[in-house]
Amino acid sequence: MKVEYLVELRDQPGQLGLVLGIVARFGANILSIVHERERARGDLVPVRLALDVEEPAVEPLTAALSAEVRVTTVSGRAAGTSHALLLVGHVFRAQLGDFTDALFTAGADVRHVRAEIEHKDKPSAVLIEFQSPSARVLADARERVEALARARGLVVVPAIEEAAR
Amino acid sequence: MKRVRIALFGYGAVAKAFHQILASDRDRLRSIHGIDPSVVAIVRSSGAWIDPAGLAPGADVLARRKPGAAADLAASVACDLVVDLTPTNLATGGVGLEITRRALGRGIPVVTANKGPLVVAYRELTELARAKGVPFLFEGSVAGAIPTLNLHDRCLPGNRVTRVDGILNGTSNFILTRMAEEGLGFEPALDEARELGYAEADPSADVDGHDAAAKVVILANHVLGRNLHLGDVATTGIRSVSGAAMRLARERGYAIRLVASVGLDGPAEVAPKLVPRSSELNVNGTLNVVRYTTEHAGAFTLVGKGAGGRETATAVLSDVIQATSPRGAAGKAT
Repeated sequence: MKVEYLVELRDQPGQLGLVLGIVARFGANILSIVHERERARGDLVPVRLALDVEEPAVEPLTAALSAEVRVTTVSGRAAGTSHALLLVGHVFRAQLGDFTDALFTAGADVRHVRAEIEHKDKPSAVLIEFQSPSARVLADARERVEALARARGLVVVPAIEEAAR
Repeated sequence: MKRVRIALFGYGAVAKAFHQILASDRDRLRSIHGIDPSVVAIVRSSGAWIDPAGLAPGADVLARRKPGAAADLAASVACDLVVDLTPTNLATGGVGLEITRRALGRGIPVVTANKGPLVVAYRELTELARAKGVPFLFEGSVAGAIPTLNLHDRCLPGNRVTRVDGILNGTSNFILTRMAEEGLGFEPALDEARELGYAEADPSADVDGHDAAAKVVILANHVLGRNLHLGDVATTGIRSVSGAAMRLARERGYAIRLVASVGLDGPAEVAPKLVPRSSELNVNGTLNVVRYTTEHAGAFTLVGKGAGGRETATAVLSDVIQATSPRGAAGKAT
């Protein structure tokens, strides 16, 4: 069956080779590779890969790719899973932007940030929802946020793993 | 009919309910399980009540107090089974640890709902019981009436549990439920829990997560074969959960719950988590939930009453039957 992956690769040597190695491991046939340099975000370049692959191999191939690079869509459908975490404490004094930056740096996509301030002297709460392309990115994202929260005196309330929706 | 002489250590809510059920279910215990249990000793810190003919539950028990050294009786009282329901001490194991050591040392089976000895000396006590060849059962120590440990021991020997998740403290779950339902802050919800008798005057064991962490230690050691102590469980309580946090979570389809998690390796944890409202882990009020993830058959989830005198007493009675019935735990009608 034909499957089209949209992945984001770092603009550096060896990245495409890494992806093609994985594709070969699952016996997939490459139909086309298109670099979309005009849509690059920083040093992340979208690459569209059209493959001919046996149906049972699609899921493990997607997982293997996600473990190494950022998979944005699979045949037009958003890849990755949604996650959420709450920050509780004096969040705005703790530079909220640093937390969203930490998530972006880990490779996650921040989608929504909602805040509630009860009173100027009381702890506030911020709910951050983000998309993670792989378990590795999710673990890294959480680690970065938790370290930052510890340093800034905030409490992190993460979503349980099955929260992926 | 097998007579079973029980020495009951501690006489709080669980012990009183156990004593009562023992009396009210006597016919069933005799006909189905072939045992005739009677409480021949009640031992509290204030003294002991001993009657080889059996003590009936009720106020008259307290009127017949005899002087006697409390913990030492575990080493001397004539009985077939010790039931330890003394107060929990998670730091030292408390008097329950010494009672259990002495009883097992004498080759007497022990049934307990006391987390303290298990958290402090799980390995020592289980090895002692094994060496003496006597049952040492503690279903009531984790999640009250829910048959958590017995499910694992009796129903899952053909499978391996690889992870345990759950909500193991009914008091904190009640507080979080009320905060979400009524928009209450933490303190008013705690006050309500106190008024209803769900929270102690000092609620720290419940709201700071230590009670749930103790249950994680027991589950990790017994079900997952680990060797954890209380200090190995990363524990965060619910005091920091604000009304604002509750509202935000609710708006986006989540509840906040104090979730306990432990696997075959890696960290063990008790901490507030966002739980999708549709999740099976999202139980309300004082309910507990335990989910076993297994190697070969996915997950099993048990939901039920995780605390309360009568509820926990049923778990204790199940263990008493298992430890003493000549017909096995399932029994049979005659």
